[in-house]
Amino acid sequence: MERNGQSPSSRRIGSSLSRRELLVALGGSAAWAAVPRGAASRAGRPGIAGTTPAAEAADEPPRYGGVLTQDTFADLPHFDLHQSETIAALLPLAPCYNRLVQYDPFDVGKIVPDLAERWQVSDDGKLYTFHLRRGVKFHHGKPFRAEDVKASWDRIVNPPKGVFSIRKLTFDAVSGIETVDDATVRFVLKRPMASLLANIGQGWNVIFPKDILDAKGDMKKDVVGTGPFKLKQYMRGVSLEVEKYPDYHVKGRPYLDGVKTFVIPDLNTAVNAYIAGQLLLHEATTESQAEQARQQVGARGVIARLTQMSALTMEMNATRKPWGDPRVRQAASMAIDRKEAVQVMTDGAGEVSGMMLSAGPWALPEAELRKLPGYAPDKNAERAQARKLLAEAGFPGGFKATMIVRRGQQFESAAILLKDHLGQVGIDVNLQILETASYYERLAKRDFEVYGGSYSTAVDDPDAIFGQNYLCNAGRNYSGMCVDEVEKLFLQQSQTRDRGARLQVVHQLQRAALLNVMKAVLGFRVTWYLYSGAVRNYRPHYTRYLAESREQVWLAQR
Amino acid sequence: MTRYLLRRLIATVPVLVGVSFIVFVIMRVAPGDVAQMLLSGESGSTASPQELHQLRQQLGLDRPYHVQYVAFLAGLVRLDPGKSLWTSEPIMVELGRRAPITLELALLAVVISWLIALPTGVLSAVFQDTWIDYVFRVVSVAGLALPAFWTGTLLVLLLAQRFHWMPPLGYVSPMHSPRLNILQFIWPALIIGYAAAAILSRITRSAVLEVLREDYVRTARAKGLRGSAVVSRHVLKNALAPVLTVSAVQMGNLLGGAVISETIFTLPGVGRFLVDAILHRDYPVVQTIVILFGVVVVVLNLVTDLLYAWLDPRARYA
Repeated sequence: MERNGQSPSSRRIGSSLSRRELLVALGGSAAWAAVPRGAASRAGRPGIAGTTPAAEAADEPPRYGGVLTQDTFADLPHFDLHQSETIAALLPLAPCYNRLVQYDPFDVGKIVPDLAERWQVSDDGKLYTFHLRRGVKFHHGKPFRAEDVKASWDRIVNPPKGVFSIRKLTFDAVSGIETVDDATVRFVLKRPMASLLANIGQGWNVIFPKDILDAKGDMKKDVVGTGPFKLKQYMRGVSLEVEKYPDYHVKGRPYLDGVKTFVIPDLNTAVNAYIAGQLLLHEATTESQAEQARQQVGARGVIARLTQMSALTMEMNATRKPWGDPRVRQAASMAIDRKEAVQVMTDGAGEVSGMMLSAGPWALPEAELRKLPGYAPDKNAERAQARKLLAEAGFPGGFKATMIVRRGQQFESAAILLKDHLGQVGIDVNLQILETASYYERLAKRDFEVYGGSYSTAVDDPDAIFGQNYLCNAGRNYSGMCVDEVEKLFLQQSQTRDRGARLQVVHQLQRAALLNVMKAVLGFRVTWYLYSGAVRNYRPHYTRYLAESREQVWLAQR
Repeated sequence: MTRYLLRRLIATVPVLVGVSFIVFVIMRVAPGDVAQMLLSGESGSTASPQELHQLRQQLGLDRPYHVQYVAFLAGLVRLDPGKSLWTSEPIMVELGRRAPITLELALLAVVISWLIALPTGVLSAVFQDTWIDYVFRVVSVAGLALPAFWTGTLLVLLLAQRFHWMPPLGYVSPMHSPRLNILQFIWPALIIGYAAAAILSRITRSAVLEVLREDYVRTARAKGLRGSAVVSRHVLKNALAPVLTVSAVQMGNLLGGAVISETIFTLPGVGRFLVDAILHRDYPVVQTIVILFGVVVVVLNLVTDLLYAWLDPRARYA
């Protein structure tokens, strides 16, 4: 199992191979890793190997012009990214905005400047000072100042009534934002937060103009940022088109004249639109559709297969009997053959993992994982042990349980597999498949015994993953578990600024959560990205929530 | 006639109130609500129960059901069903944007259904029990049997994978570019029109067969009139009444077809608005569209009855 990266699985399809592509084809990951730029998925970097080899290999100069066409599965409810959590909002709007810091679009393992050109952290880790770029203008002509950062971040950290800041809890450590002068802003923290920059860089945390926030209270109907593109046209239910912002503060950028995001709810239609050349980029599709595209598009397209920051899980409601008993949860976890689960769910492309992205820097080493309930290599022995645990818990003959499952091929096939595995230790599962709205309502009300689902976070960072999913007050802690050790270790790792020391604590944290079976993580999902061979400087990543501004993307002559 | 019209119009009121009540109850019984969906992403929601409660309050979902229902009905009477809970846009504005799209699709589908149904139905009848009849009958039965979502998906697959072409994405108004507009609409209209043509073709065949056996047709033939003249002048004219009426009723069914086709062909019509609203639990939007569809069906039925009376003077209304 590869720990610090993942096999580069993207390829340009067709007969003409560049030298770099040939290296990939012949030497596999080793050769790819040797390629200096774009091959980002090595040690400490959870990014995915570069996927537009043709552009770099040929050293083509960037070309200006053209409109990138892409799609999203749903229309966005409004334009206010601070109050959104769906990619359907982020994808079309990200090109219009900047953040304080951003993820390097070529390597999302790196945080690089955005509107803050540099920053300092105090010795105690409780004060972050950001020095802002000068000469930046919002799309409506107003100059960008520190007050805009304060206004934007105040509503994220401490939203006024009527504003629903989705990521408020993530920034629980931030006590306030202060402006020092027009070009300097400070984040004052209650406690050190090692992941502050990583979380500030999430695609959602954009800077809005203070004057509009003051006048309207939100940005639900306005798209005014400092980003490389500005809103050109929005047709509800049809498309959102942005055009090049001529006063963009980064000289020479963007290359594209615009980006047009179509709303295409039907996945088949989207893939066919890509095949027909109407979409130049189609992200996150299934294997069968990627294969269709491969057969049809041939040398004109590129396909990248990537493990996503999205864990498939089974969770047990600890507030209901008998799932509050850790022996029962451990037995359920031990019943699952994760290798088989990953094989079925990802066609062998995914990886068995603990809580953190299997290919990322925080993952538990495989040897450690094997010692934890559910990960032992000898599945028969582990299932025998599971039956013993159930007998100790008072269920020598097993028991019946109902599992709710979100509708969708991937979730449903995983649930069938889980039913089979749990049945092997005597837990007789009845599956109840629900459509998304019903499913989430049942989770929110904790009206379930067991559920099969997934969790995704924008960043592969323990603060985000544990803060949103595992802590007592985490929004997605649907199982209702509250483990003191996990709370303590979470705080400890979050305040540890030395990366090596933090990694050790994160490993302890994962061990504690896995021993308590807070969630039975099966593996991480795999998805396919399709894009035209003309698209240059585009890098798909393990998540779609970090670097979607398209500032660096350009289109070769087609 | 006027009394009949008035009676029919008055009778529609309880029908529509009944429809509104049923859809209101169904939407409230269905689990999940728009507040949950608004604060959720692809992996669920991180919102606290307090935040959810606050948003529900803001959206008016915490009010008693009967208050919500009466407020909605009162809005409908004023022709203002309120705002979408999902987008905060006035529903009437959104419907105004989308209705012409669905209407264009439905009308085009009707035209296509006539273009397919009339010739096939007439030829089937004239050449009864020959291979022509058998072929057209198979084609029309296939149209009845194949669901629109299947034929639609298959058509998109065929166009994209065989010809590497697809109708232009998005929506282009006929005022902006009639050519692009037709390129977008012709395919979904073909799918819906074909399904509708299947029934019409069968009706046309039966009606033409019936008329062909009438004495006046035999007389016309005996007088030496050519076969085509007999069919076009005497048969078709008299056989059209049931075809027209069925066609008018079918307009209502076409709205159902539009729900599917608009999704497959990415047309932002009322059908897709309804699908999205159901998925988001956008109660007032779902209620308004279902009632609108109800009104359309009721009105079409009324028009059909009147049309029948006009076409066939033997039919009289008290």
